[in-house]
Amino acid sequence: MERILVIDDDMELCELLQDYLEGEGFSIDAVHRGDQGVEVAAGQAHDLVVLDVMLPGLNGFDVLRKIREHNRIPVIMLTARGDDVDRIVGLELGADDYLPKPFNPRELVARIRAIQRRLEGLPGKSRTQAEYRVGDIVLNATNRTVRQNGEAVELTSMEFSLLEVLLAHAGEIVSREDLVVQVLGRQLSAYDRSIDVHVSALRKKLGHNYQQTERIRTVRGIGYLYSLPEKSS
Amino acid sequence: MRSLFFKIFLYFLLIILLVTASVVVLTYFRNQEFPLLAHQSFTRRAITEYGREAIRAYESAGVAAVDQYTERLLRESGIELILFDNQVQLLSQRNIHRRIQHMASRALRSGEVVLPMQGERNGLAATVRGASGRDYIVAITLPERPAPRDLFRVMTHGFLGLQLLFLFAITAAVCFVLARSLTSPISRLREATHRFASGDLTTRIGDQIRGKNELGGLARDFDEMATKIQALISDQQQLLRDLSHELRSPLARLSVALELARQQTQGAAGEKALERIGLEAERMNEMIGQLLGLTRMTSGINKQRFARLDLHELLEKLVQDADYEAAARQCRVVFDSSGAAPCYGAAELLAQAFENVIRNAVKYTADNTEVRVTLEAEKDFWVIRVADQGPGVPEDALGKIFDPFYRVEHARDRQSGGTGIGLAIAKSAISLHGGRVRADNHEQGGLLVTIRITKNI
Repeated sequence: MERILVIDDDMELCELLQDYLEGEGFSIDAVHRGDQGVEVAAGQAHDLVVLDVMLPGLNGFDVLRKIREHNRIPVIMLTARGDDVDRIVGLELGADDYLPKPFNPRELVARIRAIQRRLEGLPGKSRTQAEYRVGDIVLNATNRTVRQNGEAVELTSMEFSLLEVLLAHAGEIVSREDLVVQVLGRQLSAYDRSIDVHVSALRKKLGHNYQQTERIRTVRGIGYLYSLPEKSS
Repeated sequence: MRSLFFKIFLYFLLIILLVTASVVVLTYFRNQEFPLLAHQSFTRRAITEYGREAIRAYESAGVAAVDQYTERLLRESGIELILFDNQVQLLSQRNIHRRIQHMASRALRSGEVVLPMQGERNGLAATVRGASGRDYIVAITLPERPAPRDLFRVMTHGFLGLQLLFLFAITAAVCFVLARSLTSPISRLREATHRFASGDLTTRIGDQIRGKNELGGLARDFDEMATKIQALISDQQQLLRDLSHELRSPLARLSVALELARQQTQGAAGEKALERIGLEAERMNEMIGQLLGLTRMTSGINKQRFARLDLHELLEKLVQDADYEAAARQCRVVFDSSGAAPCYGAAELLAQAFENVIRNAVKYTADNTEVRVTLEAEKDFWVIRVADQGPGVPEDALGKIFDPFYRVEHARDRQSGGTGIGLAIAKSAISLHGGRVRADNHEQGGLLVTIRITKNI
């Protein structure tokens, strides 16, 4: 059974969520303060964190930053609807996904399941390779590590999956739609730019260029392409 | 003593003093005055010397010869000589001033060298005895006025020219300092006001304009005002944020409770009612979001986020998204543009404005039709046109569709889930960018929304 930590100051909402998610087969712990949330999350007893942005004690972003200091546990941020800045900041700080509040709990369950699936390996699409070597990057899918020139790169699980998909199709264009389906585990909806934020976070961590070519190229109107290193190298 | 009034007063006083002093100095050098009567012997000798010549000319050849001699004297030594006989009768054909005549009679009476009693002291007169033994009165004057050409030359060349230049330089420097000291705090204040108006609410000026005069007071008042406004606006922002949070919390609980009810009843009779509750909750949520957006925009809070952006790029993304959404109804959204369209604005706000207009078009266009978005340059504007192939809007409602909560009578808005705020938001966002938006019915049917945004790069 999945153990989920909900960090939200709305106690009544937490109770309702607890009832609903338990009905869906999850086990829930709820805390109502940011600082408490960091402590509980550090206990490593949970498989996933649902984190509200507006929190007493320590706000959601700070909680996320603290959690990320020593933990790669998947985090879903609950942001105020319409506040794009919150959403982008959250994703950039390493949240795996976000959900504008108020949300439909069915949607929350779908996102949790998508992250779960991703961590267990993509079902239906059998993994073709356990390791990818493209240019200076070595990605090992079995122990979920990425090395650049032999040095480990810290990626969130979302960034890791994104890189895996891009490397699996290195030199080919992967459409945004496919990326969203394979990485975020949902259908692309209009005005959803989270995949682009993940791509830019990945670019920042790996460096924009490799051997004078753009590492991850944006193909306007279609999607993204991981450039293959030139033959000579 | 520190007030601006005294400052201005003292500066002007100083200038006037300077000017007066220079006038005195100039007159001192300019005033051509014969030596004082203390030098009787010197002047008498000069007069006798010149006078004798004139008398000789008169006694030998008459009045005409005197005139001839005096003209030559004027040319050679720059003084004018006038000869009278002992009855103070003028021995010349020229006209002379009564002043000179008067002076001459005084010289006859006193027997001394005299100066004019009034006006310029630029003449001398004394009695001179001629070779024949008769007494004459000789008057010497400087020409009444130097010729204008000479005056000009004197003023621009030589000593006096330098002097004037010097005076001019000093006056200019003093005036410059005066003007600077008055205007520089004002222009700093103006700059600060500008910055404040363009959204930098942290602008303060107190440490740049010191002193206890009126301008310093104004700067402090400005700071005080800025602090108050900043506090007011941040209060308002906080209120908006709190409001959004507080209004949405019950909605969030509602939607979870709704799903919980669904989970527990599992397809029982209440399903339809639950569906309805969900729809209304969603509608309410959307409305809160848009209302907050509108309030935020009309209060101009977002203005500080202006930056350079490309309208072409912005629209391209939005059209792609809208096209994706429209595909559900077998509609297409197409984009016509000739390339990059740089402008200055808040990308988020513009995106929201365009998105609302485009989504509105997608909503009303008939199934299996196309929404056309075009971007063109027109003089100083970028013109964006969004044309749908829907039912259009009655003529009398065209101007009102941008008002908040306005609904066209027969609109299917309710069914399609509109809030009635989308176009109002678009309008505020565009007018925040100094742009305009208008709606027309297209000739071939359908609504055409035209947005103009200044290029101001």
